[in-house]
Amino acid sequence: MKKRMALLMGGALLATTVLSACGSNNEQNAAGGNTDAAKGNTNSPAVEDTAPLELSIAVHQAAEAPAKGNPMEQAIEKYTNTKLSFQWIPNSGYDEKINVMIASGELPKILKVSYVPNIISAMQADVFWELGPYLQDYKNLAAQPETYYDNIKVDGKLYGLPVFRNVGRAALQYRKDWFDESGLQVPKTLDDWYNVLKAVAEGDPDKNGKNDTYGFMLDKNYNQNVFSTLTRLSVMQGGPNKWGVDDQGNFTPEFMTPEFTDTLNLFRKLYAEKLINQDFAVTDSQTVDKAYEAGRVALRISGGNAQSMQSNLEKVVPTAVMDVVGLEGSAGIRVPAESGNAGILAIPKSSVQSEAELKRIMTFFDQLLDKEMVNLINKGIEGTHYTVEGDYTLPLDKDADAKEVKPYRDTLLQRGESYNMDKLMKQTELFEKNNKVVTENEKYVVTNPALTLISNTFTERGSELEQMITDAETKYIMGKLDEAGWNAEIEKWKQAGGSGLMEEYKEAYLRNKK
Amino acid sequence: MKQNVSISAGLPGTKAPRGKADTLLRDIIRDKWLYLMLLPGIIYFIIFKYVPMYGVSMAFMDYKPYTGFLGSPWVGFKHFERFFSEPQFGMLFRNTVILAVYNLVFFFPMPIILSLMLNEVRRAKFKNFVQTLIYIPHFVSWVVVVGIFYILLTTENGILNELLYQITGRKIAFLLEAEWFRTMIITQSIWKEIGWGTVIFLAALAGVDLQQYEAARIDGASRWRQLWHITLPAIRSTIIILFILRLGNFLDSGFEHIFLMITPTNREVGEVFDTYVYTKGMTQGQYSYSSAVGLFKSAVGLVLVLGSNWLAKKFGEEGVY
Repeated sequence: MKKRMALLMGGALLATTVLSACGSNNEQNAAGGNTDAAKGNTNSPAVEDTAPLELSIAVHQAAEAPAKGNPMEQAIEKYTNTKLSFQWIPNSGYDEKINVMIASGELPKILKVSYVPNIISAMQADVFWELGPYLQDYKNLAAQPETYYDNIKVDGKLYGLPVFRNVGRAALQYRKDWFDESGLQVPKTLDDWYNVLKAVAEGDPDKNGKNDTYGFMLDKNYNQNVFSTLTRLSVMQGGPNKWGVDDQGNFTPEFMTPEFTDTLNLFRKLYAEKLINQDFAVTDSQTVDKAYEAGRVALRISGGNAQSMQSNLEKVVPTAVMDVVGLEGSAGIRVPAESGNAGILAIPKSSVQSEAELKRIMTFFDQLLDKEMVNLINKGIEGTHYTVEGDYTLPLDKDADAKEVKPYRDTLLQRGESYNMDKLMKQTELFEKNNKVVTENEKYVVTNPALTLISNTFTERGSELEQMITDAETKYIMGKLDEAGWNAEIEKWKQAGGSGLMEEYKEAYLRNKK
Repeated sequence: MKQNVSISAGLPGTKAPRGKADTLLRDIIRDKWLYLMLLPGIIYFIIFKYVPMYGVSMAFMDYKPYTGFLGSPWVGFKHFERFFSEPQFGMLFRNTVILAVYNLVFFFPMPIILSLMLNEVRRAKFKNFVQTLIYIPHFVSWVVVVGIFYILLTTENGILNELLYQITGRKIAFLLEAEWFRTMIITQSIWKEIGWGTVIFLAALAGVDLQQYEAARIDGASRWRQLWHITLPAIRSTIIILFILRLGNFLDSGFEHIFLMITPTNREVGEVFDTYVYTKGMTQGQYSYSSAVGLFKSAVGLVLVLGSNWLAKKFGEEGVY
């Protein structure tokens, strides 16, 4: 009898483990159910204004995820009358994770997406609310420059709000102390670049007797997206930003322009003469960052701020002096325009079903651009992260700011000093100088004419085509392809859909023009 | 392993078949507790393995997540046709098969050789120590393994490359050169998994009857002769079963590992079905197409298992089932 009992209990135990495994699934569903309940609330107008709106938000997480219910979140909740629950999704492979979320149908009320083919087709399939018609009812949202919205439109419709970023963030940061000492000039033409990089790599500017300095370093993403070093350099020389277009609407990809080819040849030469890091095709950006921070590299083109580079550098090389200038090439200052956002905050129709709730969420977005929230999201909490001194505010604790405020600053709506900030943050001269370069850049940006054009080829095999070319660029720089080989790769690109892409862009461009 | 198989095979039908359903029912009633204990396992397989299989139907649809399974149109073999006519298909197939063959030829025998060597070690303490030591890499994730190899092999101050430079005066870009790619992959696999692979073989070796060795020694057989005539035949069926199971995963190249090792310069030898499924499905959201590719891969695996099992039985060996 006892034996029987034991067996029975054993069986029951096993059964419960299996069941509890299912149970955890159910819990997630229950969480989804919660949001349903909240929806019920907003549907009845009586409760609408008083009950806090439950808001689940999925955004990217740069460093550490902030704790739930921290003072920052509480402050936002209090002002906007919401109950926030953030889902911080690690930055690496973010788009893939969003794809999985969309595929599984479990979506939060606000979802940060990127302007990529898969999301664009989701937008075309009406997965997200179209926000364009509502925009005018919200004073802060309506006050933002049109371009930010235009850059994320699909077929002329707006399906989300841009996480605002400056369009021309790239600047040239360099080691002023090294340049002054050896009488070097900030390079402008590609020949200048070659000479400066050669001088730094061979001149031992850090005087440690070792041949361990570079003028410039690349990481494995050096030719990807809007941050492509090749694009930046070729635009400085007068080349187009990713795509060039003529009066008839004919599109030419950047890699078929002479400016770009010259830039490629520069790097090919640098690589052959060992003047840039030889393993760049496998090097992580973190490895390159470390080399910069260790004071082993002279020049950098980046969207970062020279001040933070200076601060990091000082810890290792106390005498180091960083400086920053605009991207000036032989064609004057020219900066490739970025898309003006760090993602799009979209509202899925499956999780927000009523228009009333949509309007509540729009109000939430609008409130984020009110003075109080602009201060909070940009600077944190007064007394903890900053203090007020006369007409300025002073940062108090940089580390706390990076941990507690930055996650929100990076993912919610804000335009920094450009919108609704009553007292500017007092910063170092270098920081201000970098900011000024970025603001000035807006005058010199070169836009990408194909940015918002929709092409079927691009949706279906855009990333494949892009990879073909970026791989070929790497091989060409490393000398694994000669000029004939490089041209053959371009031909291959055309055959694989590149020509179709050019045609489709032309069509879409002419259609939009009318 | 052999024993296990014979026990489970002997369980249900030990008596002569006399009214099949009748005896089966009687057996179930008699061994009800054993069957009850089987139940959680069966439930596990149904819920977590068989139910999700309906997702395979995605490969025959133009699946769109927003319209769901019911709203997506059926398209038959469209995605398979696209896959087979894709210019990349030849490259993917070649890369995957070459890697798989390398795996079988170079990687599969390694644990066997190592366990035979361990088996010859006299001191039990030393043997246990070595065994524990070689298990450890198995628990290191691929990200870390690839990271370690990067630090060792990079041409910018990588330790091994610096050493190479001191000796030969030149450096080899192991991580960048296409011709080194497969060597790197197999080497890393061996480094990481060789110890773990010995577990089953060592268990099989422990079951060999010691009297046979004694008899062989009296007959004057050398150690090599003992190895050849006693040890190897004793673990032959284990080797064959593991070989068949291995064939089931023939086309699995180990996505994470390959994905981490691919660079622009070795992509033409590195891109395999697994990484292709990832790029198409996860990064480009072509769910149906990538399911079709995955399904094709699984079908090849199934055919290989069935075929090799049949072959093994033909040669009088015990198969997997």
